[in-house]
Amino acid sequence: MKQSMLKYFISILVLLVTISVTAQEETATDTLKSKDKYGLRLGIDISKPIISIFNDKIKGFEILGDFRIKRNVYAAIELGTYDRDTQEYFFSFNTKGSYIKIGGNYNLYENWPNMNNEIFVGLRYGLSSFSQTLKSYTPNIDGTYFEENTITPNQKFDNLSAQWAEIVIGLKVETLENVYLGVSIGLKKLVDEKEPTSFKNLYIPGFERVFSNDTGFSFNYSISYLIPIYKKNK
Amino acid sequence: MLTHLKFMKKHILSLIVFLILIASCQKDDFCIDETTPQLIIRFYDNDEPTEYKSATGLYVWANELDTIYNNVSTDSIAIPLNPSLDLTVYHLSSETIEDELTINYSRKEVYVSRSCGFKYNFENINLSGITNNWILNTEVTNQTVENETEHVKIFH
Repeated sequence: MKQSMLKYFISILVLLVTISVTAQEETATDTLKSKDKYGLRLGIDISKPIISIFNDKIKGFEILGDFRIKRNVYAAIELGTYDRDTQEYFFSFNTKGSYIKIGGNYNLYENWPNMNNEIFVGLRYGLSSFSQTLKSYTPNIDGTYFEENTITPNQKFDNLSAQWAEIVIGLKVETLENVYLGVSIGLKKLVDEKEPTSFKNLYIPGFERVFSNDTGFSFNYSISYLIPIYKKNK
Repeated sequence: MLTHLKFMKKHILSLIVFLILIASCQKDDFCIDETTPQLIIRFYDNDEPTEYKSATGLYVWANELDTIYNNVSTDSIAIPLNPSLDLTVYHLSSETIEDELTINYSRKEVYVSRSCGFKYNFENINLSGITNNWILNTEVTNQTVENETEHVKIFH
């Protein structure tokens, strides 16, 4: 609950920033020659460290970068690590590993002169390598005739992996010169996974929670800095 | 350009709402799968071994526990096996005549789902320590308890 509150709060914040930036730039840009900035943009996901502060069961870190190839096309990459303890009703487990996502974004937003904001759709190929540890479980028995006891195998499943395809929708707003705030959501579908024989991949680093039909869903909040390399006329 | 922009924004929003709907509909928060099965015993006529014969005035209980069946007449009972041990001792009493039997097995944990967790299947079912006061004969017809079909026959 705390997490989702936080997510909405940040969403609203980003939205407000968007509105205020739009409002500021509406005037006085008429006569300026507009040029597009091209360069390497590097950033981090700010939601993951914040979630770690409020929830000590989740530790995540992600760096991201993109490079503008064409006027509306960006090549994009995300790299991250993830370590999460999850308590389900009948068992608890840990997921730990790292991931990489490679793909591109297409900017749908028609900027006014000298604005560099984006509303984009993107595609990613995701790859994760991780381990899962089944920490404890209580066998699911109907009724309470016999006392149930919790078993703590602490069984580690190594060398697990997953690959998925992801659709990303988001926006990036230049709030200060070359500093961007971004928010995006990703819808994922597992393509291939290596799972334990007697357990399942319920969380995957970079994919987050795996739903029963092998789909996933995640939010991403980023702050990034553009290292301008060259400018091009529109 | 402005109308074009508005159009885009409108469609992005509906796409986002659509994606949230998809993701939220497929949660597996409720356990609807089958969990640890019970052992099924069916009662047969010792004189005509293919015919079911109800046990009357039947009481069933495990060692040191309450009764599961209380004065019933039935040709089929479902009894849980102790998940903490490799054997369960049951007492079956028909018309105040009591018999005892020990069910031996090995437990195998099986992952079911996120919401159901793990269940046990029971393998290598065999019976021992059977007293023959009203129970005349027994037979294990299915050594593996994975689902709730007949596993043991009791002739009386």
